[in-house]
Amino acid sequence: MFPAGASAQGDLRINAGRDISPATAGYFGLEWEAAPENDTPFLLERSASPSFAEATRIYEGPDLGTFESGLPDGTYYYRLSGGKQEGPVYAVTVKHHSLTRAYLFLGIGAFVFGVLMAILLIGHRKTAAESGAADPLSGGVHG
Amino acid sequence: MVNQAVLDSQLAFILLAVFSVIWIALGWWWGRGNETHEDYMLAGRKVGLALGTATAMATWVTSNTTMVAPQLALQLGLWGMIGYSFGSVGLLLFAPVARRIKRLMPQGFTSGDFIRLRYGPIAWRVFLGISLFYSLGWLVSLGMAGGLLIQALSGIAYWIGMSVILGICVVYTLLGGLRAVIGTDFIQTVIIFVGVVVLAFMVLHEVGVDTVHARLATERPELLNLLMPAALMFLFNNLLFGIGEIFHSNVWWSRAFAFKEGVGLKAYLIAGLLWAPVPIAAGFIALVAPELGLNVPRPDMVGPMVAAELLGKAGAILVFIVVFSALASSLDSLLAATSDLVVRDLYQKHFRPEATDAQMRKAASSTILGLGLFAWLICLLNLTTLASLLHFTGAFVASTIFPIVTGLYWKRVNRHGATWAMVLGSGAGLAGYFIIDFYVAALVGAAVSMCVVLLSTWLAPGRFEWSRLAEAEPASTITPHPDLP
Repeated sequence: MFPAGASAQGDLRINAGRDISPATAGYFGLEWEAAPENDTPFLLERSASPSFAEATRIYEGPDLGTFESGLPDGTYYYRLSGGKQEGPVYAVTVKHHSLTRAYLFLGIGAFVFGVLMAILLIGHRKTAAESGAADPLSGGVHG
Repeated sequence: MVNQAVLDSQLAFILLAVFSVIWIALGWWWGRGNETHEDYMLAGRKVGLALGTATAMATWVTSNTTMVAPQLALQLGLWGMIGYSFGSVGLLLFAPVARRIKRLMPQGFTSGDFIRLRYGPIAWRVFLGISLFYSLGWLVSLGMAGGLLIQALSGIAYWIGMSVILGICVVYTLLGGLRAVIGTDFIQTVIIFVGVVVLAFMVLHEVGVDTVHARLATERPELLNLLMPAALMFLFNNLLFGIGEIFHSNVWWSRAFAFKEGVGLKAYLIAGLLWAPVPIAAGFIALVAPELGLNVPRPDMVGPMVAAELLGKAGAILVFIVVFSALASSLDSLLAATSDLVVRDLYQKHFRPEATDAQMRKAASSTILGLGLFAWLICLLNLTTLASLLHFTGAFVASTIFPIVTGLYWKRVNRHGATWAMVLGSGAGLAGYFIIDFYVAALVGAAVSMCVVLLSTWLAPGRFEWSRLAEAEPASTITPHPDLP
């Protein structure tokens, strides 16, 4: 436990300084630890530059984390403050997968699903016909 | 961590107590009709269409539908929401499969029975490993969801809520077996349906689609992007994951065995159609969060948080009841079906082939208790998010799709091909999970498994006789239960 007022940057570090870049789907979580001596709400800001010339207020309140999503490619800078203390700037780079890779997986998925559907449809029709022939009282395909 | 709660903890405890008493009383009531272990496992194999449809629907509406669907909407946007509803495809496609299972194995008990008889002991053990791992993962995710939900809504400590939900489900499943599970599922389906419809209507009434769209376009534009790469990769992954879950899991096979002849096909078709809109309604609720300026510390809590924020105390109570019902309807099914798998495939087939009915009943009770205890211990650690835990298992279950489907319809699939398909598919899926992300694990697993099955069947075709699946074997060596008249 840090003494009151000490190690403000340690308490207000986002994700304990751990690097989570690149975020390849545009989402990521930001967490921080509570400063037990400080009852003032946290303020989390985001900026497109490390100097925070223009900053957006993301959250103000007592929670110990937030979740960002839907962000386009780019580098985002975050700063957490609580009362008069201010944490270090934390950077996250968002770099989405390439569309080529996305289409590749989409195509593989469609192919696998197509093969599965074909096996099921052909198998169902064939076995329904067989069971209908073997058992004339079965009432046909949906009997 | 969330530092605010919307529901008074005393009220939450009252709700928990009321529903606990109801479910346990019903479990005891329905359990009185069980005379043999087969009754306990498969509800006498006489389940009709209404109960069959309700149990399939309620079991598939889990905490994952009500909590992970909103999470995926918040992570992957429109495709996350719509893609999650593709989970209904698994139910729809299982309709003809259930019919085929009932025809081929009228006296079957578990999905493990099919793999053992169709592919032999090695494939069977690989399959049991996969299926038990998945079941435990699902069980833990349900317990975690219960704890998180109660904590977020009422401020009651995570471990207390998680313990209560697991405890209640263990008790009434223990008392009533599959008969109680299916009976409570019917009531829970009605609660879930009415609750989700009311919630969606209330959210739409409070916040218009236009304002939600405008806010997302400004603050989280990629959520509206229909060409978001990760979301495109996720689409078929989720579809195949759902198919893998349903096609392999004894939760669904045990129902196929328990339904009356001719019920399975219709029950699964209707359940699939009824289920599809639920994740879309639940997912839309999450997209309202930015418009409300709501902070979301954990993405898996976004659904309940939005409902509570927007609808106040009434919304919180409604969400509490709906998710509690969704959790219970899946937890009980999973406990019963996993217990069947353990008792039938591990206890009886590996250690006690001559087990009597009374011994099987005792083993089933001990297993349900043991599963509950195991899940409770893992849930206490609260290690990961629900989606991460759930999708980790996707690599494994998707690798079973092709061995099962081809095994049911093709005589030529050979046992080695099926075994390697599950092993290599799982390995490749896990590689996909760690190298890329959760949203490709099931897809990679299914694709590799498919290639192995097709290639091995083409290179070394087998010759299987369907009659070997109709193993005329009782669940146990029936002797009168000492407690029965």
